[in-house]
Amino acid sequence: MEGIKSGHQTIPGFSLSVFTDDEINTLHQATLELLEKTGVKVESEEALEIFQGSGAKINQKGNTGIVKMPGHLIEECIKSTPGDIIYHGRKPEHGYRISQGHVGFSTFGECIKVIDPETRQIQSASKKALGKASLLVDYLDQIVLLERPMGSLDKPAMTQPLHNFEAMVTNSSKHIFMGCNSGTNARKIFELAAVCMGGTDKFREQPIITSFVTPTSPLELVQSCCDVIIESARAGVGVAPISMVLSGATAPATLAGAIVQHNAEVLSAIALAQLTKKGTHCTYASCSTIMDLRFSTPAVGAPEYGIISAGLAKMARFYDIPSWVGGGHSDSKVPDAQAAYESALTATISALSGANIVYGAGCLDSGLTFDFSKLVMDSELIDNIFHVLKGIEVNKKTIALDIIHEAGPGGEFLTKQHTFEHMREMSRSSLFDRRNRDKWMEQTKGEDLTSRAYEKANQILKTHKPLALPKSAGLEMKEIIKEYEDSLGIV
Amino acid sequence: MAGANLIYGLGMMEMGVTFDFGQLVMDNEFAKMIMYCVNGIPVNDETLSVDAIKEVGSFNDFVTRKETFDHMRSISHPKLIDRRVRDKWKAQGSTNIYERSTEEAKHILANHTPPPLSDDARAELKAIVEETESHLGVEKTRPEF
Repeated sequence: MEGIKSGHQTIPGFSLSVFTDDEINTLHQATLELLEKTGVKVESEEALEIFQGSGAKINQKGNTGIVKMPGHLIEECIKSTPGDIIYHGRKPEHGYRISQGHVGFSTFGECIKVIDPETRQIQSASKKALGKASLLVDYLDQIVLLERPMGSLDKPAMTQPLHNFEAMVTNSSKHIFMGCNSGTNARKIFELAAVCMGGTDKFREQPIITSFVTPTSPLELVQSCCDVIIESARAGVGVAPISMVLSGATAPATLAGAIVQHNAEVLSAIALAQLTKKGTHCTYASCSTIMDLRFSTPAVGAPEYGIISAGLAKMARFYDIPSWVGGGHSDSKVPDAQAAYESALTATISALSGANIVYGAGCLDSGLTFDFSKLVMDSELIDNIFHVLKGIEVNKKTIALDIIHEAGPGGEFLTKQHTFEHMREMSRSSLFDRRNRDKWMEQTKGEDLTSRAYEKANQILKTHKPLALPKSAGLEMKEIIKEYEDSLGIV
Repeated sequence: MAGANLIYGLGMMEMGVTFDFGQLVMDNEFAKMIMYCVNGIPVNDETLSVDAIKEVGSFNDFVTRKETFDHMRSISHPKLIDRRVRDKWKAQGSTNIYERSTEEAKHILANHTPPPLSDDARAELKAIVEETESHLGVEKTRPEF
């Protein structure tokens, strides 16, 4: 191989080119123009105080104000947001480190229904089912973070996030992403987390939770969003502003416009976090998609969901801020071929764009229903996506010209030492079936993938044991929740 | 995404041993969605819509805007992929996509007619097949076209 120089340089792996550098710059400039000229509505006196004196122009009426942020302020806040961070778990090996180009997967939240893996009947989501889903996530290596897959709908609405946290932290030692719904809830959840880590100092060192906060589209930071950002930043907990712009409903019908608006909303929330405490970990998050105007439903299995996610992941990478985008959801009501295809398309596109976290595993019904079999199937899909991301290594050994010479026309490769050495690099299926029809029938008795996936999920749920919490932590959490509910007058 | 000019495999199952009509119809729909992704996100003054976002401002909607009406047909519109709410899906029979696709395949086969070949061409095709068969000593078959 005379053609290959020594020290041949390649960028390893597959990736997706989404925007040119000029296009990224155009999107960035349009975002700055929007934040400076139109600004964002902020519904919190405390947040307005924080913006005061930062260089932002504020037009305040009562506890609400329009905050117009100059470009240099936004750019300073982007710079003070760390790009290389660790999402700590209770178990050190469950920590997930973000660095440029690192792709990982998570579940979606928060569903309100669940398909029972034993009876396969649809039910309302509950604390018990959330615990089970968390246990499955704890087991599956492909899922690096635990976003609350569903809500504890059998618990009081006001304190539900505390119950969600308790169910998740008891059944999994992975880093938790969740919404707190209010500043006071956030404080209480951090108290619960400190109990699980053996004290507030330990929790500050290894915050095992990131708070989701949702800017309201278009262009508004409501009271609860501001409160949770401020509480989290002060407690040393990371925030993940997650906008859900619906192209055609709460954002322009053209995707570039939807991306600019999303970008403005998320950057304004990141600015509040950085102005509260410089260096606060922020995750640039997205749940944005199109509104299917025929049915007035947010389409999360749509190709647009994949490409908006890919576009936003590129914006986050441009800012060197960890990204969290959609991929792997489905609009299908059942774990069928539609669910498989939609998950594969959107998850692959997001992963190829270099998103740091792609979330959607286990989710059906436009984000309303969680399914255990889908989470298991998605995990195998994720293995395959990683295989794609690795791409094709090109060097002397992988081109193997001498082996092809040796085999010659009409030769074979099965008996070659080279084949034996490299066969383990090939993708291997576990639940996905690659046998011939007779062997498949013999092994599975004709059962399809979904049935096999339910079986595997049930097997894991029966046998997997998560890392135990420190002694008495379970009891202490229950006491804190009870005391809090008593103080709120909840029976 | 790598720009292949033709991608083949639609309708195939079992490593290419089995063909399925429902699978072909389903794959056709998926291919449309993939084409949508390949087209990407155009970035220009019109698609950025900064003026529209400024006009709408905080806490309003875009549903009633002319730009939305103008661009609504550019969003993906699948036919067999289901995006309805669960109750509407139930009301239409709680089907999975394979059932819907197989129905669609039956419907197409019953109703679609390709542009017909001329009588001369049909006769000539038949003659070529018969001649080839007799040349090879194959037992005669009756072409069905």
